[in-house]
Amino acid sequence: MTPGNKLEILALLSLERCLLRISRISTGSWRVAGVKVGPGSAAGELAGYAGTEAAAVYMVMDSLPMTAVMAASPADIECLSKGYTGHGFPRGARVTPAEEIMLTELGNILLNALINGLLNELKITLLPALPRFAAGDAASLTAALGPAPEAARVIAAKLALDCGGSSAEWDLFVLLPEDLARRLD
Amino acid sequence: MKILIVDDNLLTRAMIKDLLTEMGHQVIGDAENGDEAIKFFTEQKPELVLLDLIMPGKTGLETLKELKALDPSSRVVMVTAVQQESMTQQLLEAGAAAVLHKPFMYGELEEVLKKFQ
Repeated sequence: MTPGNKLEILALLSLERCLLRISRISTGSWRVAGVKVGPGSAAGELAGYAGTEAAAVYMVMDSLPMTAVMAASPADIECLSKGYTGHGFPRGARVTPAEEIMLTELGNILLNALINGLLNELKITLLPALPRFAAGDAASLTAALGPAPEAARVIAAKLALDCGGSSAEWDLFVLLPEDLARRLD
Repeated sequence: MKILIVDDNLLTRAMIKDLLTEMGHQVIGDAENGDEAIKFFTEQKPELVLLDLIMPGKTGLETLKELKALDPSSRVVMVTAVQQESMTQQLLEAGAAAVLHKPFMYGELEEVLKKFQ
């Protein structure tokens, strides 16, 4: 198995298991559209959200340190709401409080699925950080995350949802300190 | 069964409440943090508490320990997205009656609740 490959498989399995369960309890069809592992940064992963008022749910675990992020474009939020809750919240120019609550819980579930897979493999027990919410363009979301680990491997996943004729794609990524990533190679 | 739901996320509390009501249980209250949960528990004595793990302020584990100290016979089911094997073990050792992992299915919740009826 090549370095990075094991991490990809681990992330893929953890997320697929979680999305399968969400598909069973919700109205949408949820799947992993892709996983990649490699060197990178939060700014690089969020670059696709430049110029948009995107939404992010993030968990910063100081004790490792490890950062996990879910980011979504405004255009995809209604579909995510419909898929997860069965209701599309009225959309406004900005992310509404109801959407923030929905995204925070969805992010909590998805980020934990990804993180737990890694922590279980590393045999680390850690109470994850409280998920936090931020909205803004790529630069302000990156700033909200705070300083990143100096040397980190990025485990990034693209997730997809089909729901009632509409579809959404959004991102999840974890910045894993390189020393921990090497233990999983 | 008279149940208290404790979760910092309003949507999750509402979704769990809907499921419990559909199952014929009575949700007698909900709380968004550990302090509120302990106050409610002391005053209302629910038959079962569904308790989130990661919350602002007291964690679910700390809240669980306080509830068990107040009433060792209290029945607390942890509901959490955290699926770390050793964390689940810690919660059970601290007195949780069961640990339900998010996202959970209707049948899983029903199965857990059957134990207490």
